[in-house]
Amino acid sequence: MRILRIALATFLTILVLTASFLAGMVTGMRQIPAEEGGAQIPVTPTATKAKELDFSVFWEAWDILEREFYGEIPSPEERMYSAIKGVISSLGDPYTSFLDPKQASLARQDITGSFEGIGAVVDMREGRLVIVEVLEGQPAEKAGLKSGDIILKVDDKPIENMSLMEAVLLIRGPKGTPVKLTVYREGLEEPFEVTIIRQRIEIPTLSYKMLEGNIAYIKLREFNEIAPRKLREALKELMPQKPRGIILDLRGNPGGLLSAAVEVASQFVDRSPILIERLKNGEQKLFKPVPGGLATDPSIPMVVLINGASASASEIVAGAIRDHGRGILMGEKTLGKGSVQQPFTLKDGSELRVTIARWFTPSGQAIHEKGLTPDVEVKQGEEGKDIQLEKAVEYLLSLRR
Amino acid sequence: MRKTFFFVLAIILIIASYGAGFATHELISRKNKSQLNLLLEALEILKRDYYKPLPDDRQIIYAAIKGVISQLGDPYTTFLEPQTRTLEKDQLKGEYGGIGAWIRKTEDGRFILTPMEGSPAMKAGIKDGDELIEVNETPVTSFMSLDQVLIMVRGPVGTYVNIVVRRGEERLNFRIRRERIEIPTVEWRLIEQGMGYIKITSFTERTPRELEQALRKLQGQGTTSLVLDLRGNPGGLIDSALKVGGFFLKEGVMLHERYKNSLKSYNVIKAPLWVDWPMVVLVDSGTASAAEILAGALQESGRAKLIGEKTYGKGSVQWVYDLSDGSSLHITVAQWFTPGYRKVEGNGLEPDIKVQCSAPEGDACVEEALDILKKGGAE
Repeated sequence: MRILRIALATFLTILVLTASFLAGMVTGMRQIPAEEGGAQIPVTPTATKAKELDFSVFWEAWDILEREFYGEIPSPEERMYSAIKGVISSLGDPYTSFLDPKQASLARQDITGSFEGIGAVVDMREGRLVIVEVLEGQPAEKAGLKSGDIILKVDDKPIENMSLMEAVLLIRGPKGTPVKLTVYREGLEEPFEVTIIRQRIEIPTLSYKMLEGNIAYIKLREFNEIAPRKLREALKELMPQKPRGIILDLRGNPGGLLSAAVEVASQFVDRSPILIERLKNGEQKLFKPVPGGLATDPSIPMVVLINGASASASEIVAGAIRDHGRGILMGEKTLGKGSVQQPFTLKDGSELRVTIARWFTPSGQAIHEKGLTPDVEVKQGEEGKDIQLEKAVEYLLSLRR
Repeated sequence: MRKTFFFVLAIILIIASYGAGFATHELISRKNKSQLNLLLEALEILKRDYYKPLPDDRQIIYAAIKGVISQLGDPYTTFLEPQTRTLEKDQLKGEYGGIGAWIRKTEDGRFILTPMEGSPAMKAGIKDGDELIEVNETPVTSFMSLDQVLIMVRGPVGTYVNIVVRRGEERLNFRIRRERIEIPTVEWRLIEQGMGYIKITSFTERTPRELEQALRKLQGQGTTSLVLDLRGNPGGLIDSALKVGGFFLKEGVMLHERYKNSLKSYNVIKAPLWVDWPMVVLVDSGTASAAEILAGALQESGRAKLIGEKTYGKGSVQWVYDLSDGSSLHITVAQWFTPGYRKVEGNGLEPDIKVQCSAPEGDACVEEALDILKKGGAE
């Protein structure tokens, strides 16, 4: 039991580190086990059928290739990784991925919550790597990349058939090093190439201010492990000022830790559940709010700003706030990333990240592939003007008094 | 006494070889087991926890094989699933047992028949546009691939297949005897007096036989010079190309193959008929592989000039390994070179006379070919 605990603790640590590394990418990593309702990691695998699989044809092919192939044949380890990647790509789920030990250790190294890359949020859609958002003032924006651009190659390597994680790891790298992207943009006849120098990307997790009319404005950029604490600090400062309304800005927030999502939602919602998670066997887990929320008072109206780059944990929080009648959603339809990946470390240090569940809002609405439609749709107009925010303020000021 | 001795010896030998085989098998499976570990580990996790149902076990194994192959970075090393492999075998053989109907799959997933002229399907009364809805009591559904349906309809010559088609409102039942259906690879005609034309569309097992017939017919019609058209010919079986070479070349090397550790040279295979007519060969960017072997050998031996466009440049050799479950691996095992050691891979063959063949009107290449043959005749 002791060993098991240690193993669990190690695993958890790794998980937390891994998850924080993912900032800047659309994620739905789960942290386990959460205080309440977290899924148990099955420790003793039940008798699986994998062992009964007939591998004879695989070995036939393996041996023939080894013996006869004219070119350079990769090492047995590399070939095994490719076999696993082959199986995974046949699943058609870009979020289930395999990282070889090198990639996996790279993914674990980053513990600071920041990372070195180009500062763009990407997602895999229909097998294509799409830029969902370019972060303000970061290298990707300076190089002229726009949301909607499709990345075809990274350093001349086609990313077709790669998992999202693999593609992201190719784009990232030590700061100061160049990465060449081949990009397709709708309307242009041919793809273009752009070389970007990687930088350390540090985005403040949370910022807040009091707007005119005594409206509290909170922008949350990612759900990392410090997000709940930052939010509580902000609310402790804002709430005593008796705001007339609260705007929670989740635009461009790609998600992060599930536990952070539950804690963030709990600051505003005190009713259960925050979200529903369904596993493949039909098993269902309800996540309860953490007691002690600072802004649950329903007499203070709330608007959640969302857009097409609000994903995963952002969608959980937005869904909980709307479904419990705590506030309305404004802006544009969210991304629709409601599947949960669990990382498994394999014997040789490589890592398998498996989609194990789907998320649903408290009312049972599926998040995955559907996204959340705002109650009030506001398109972001011309640059330099935040119409969505203006409309949110306008709406809150129009209520009662 | 002697008999008993040999009997005992035979038994011992059988047991020994069985034992040896068993031991080898054990050895192999032990080796495999340790390598298999990681794939097995990953599969166990996926089977247990992946949110959606996994593909069936066979497909998982195939996906693993395809994964290994995709890493090699060689587009010609491929894995074919059993059904695709069966169809490919038919294709390379140049014939199969069937009813003689084209089957196409519509966008909404229906399978439509078009009978070939004079085929069993046509004789049985299948009409163009009939929709195939059942084969041997198995319903045909939109989930099936075209390959799957083709395999169901095909079978050994002389056996019967029951099919049900929908024609308008009607459901019609047919019982059709499968015959040998040939996939022709040689077309021929006399262009003008003394000028023969032969087009080879690919190199299958049947090609040399078809070519022999075509040459004999042309011979009978007084052909004295020949245009051999290899445009758009993607290749096929190398042996077939070596046999075809024998109709035009008496002897000599046709190609060299460089394997990982060895070099092999292949000579022309003697044909039942040899023609010494002046000839030219038409090539274009679709002339590839075995067709490039033939063109290269004819060019370098001085037997024929190449007319047209630069060829494709596929200079690697694949061997086909049939695996135990009917699937197969095509593996790049060698590079080949022309008799004069020209490297074809990535380079292609330069024609002696460059002519743009893809003009919309007429056929500039055939015109040029005739010109050259006539000039040659005048000299």
